[in-house]
Amino acid sequence: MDLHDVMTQVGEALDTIDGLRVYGWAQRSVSPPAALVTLPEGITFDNTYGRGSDVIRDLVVLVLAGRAEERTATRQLAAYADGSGDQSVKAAVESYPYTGDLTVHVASVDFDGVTLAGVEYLGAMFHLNITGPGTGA
Amino acid sequence: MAKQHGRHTVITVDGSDISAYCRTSSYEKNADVHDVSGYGDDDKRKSGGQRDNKFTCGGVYDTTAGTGPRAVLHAEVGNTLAVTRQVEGAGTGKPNDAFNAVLTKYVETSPVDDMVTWSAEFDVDGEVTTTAQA
Repeated sequence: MDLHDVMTQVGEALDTIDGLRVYGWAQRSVSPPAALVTLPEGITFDNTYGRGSDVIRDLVVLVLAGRAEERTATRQLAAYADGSGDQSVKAAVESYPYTGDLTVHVASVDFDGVTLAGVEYLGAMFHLNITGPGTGA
Repeated sequence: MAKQHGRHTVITVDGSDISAYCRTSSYEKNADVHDVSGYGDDDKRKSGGQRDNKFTCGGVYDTTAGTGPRAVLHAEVGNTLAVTRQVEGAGTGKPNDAFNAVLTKYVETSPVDDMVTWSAEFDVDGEVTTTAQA
């Protein structure tokens, strides 16, 4: 699996959510609501014999709904964290037609305040596990 | 002499290479043991009997047409299939174990928080032929 290609496709999946702005990693400032696809915790090689498959562990999608003090931020973040619906990150990411024989699972979401460019946002961190081919594709 | 990593192991069943869907496999050689003790023996005497060999494999479920585990195994439970096992991987001089075996069990497991997995158990029919790969 090409990690850059996987992160790009996850970004494309997030881009299907109306109103959510998708940024590349290492963005210095954002305009919420925003999503950033970060580097994963790691890649486990040789999930099966003969380089059959590898696993990308805990690729985090950071979603920033708005400034922490904004009342609407909580409501917006709840919609992104919903397991279904047209604002659901899980639904958008898991239903995207990935190329390269990828299987993407949004396993969990955590919430926290996230400071970016001196501004504290209400943030949600979605944890993704991705299985794909070890060679080719 | 060198240790071997399991990831190189190659498994074919009924002519299909299922290695890319395997995470584990086990080849077990057993033999019957007969008690041939007689009067006067203070310690039991034993004699080897017929061999009875088993093979198991399993891994990550995959929908690949023709060579995925369901495509190869699901409809074959109870049937005798040709199996080859290259424990050190493919390469000239490396061992190749070939045998026919009855597929006695095929299992698909679906955990709620992980990938679907599969496993299979084989009872070997007759001799295991071990050759060096050409």
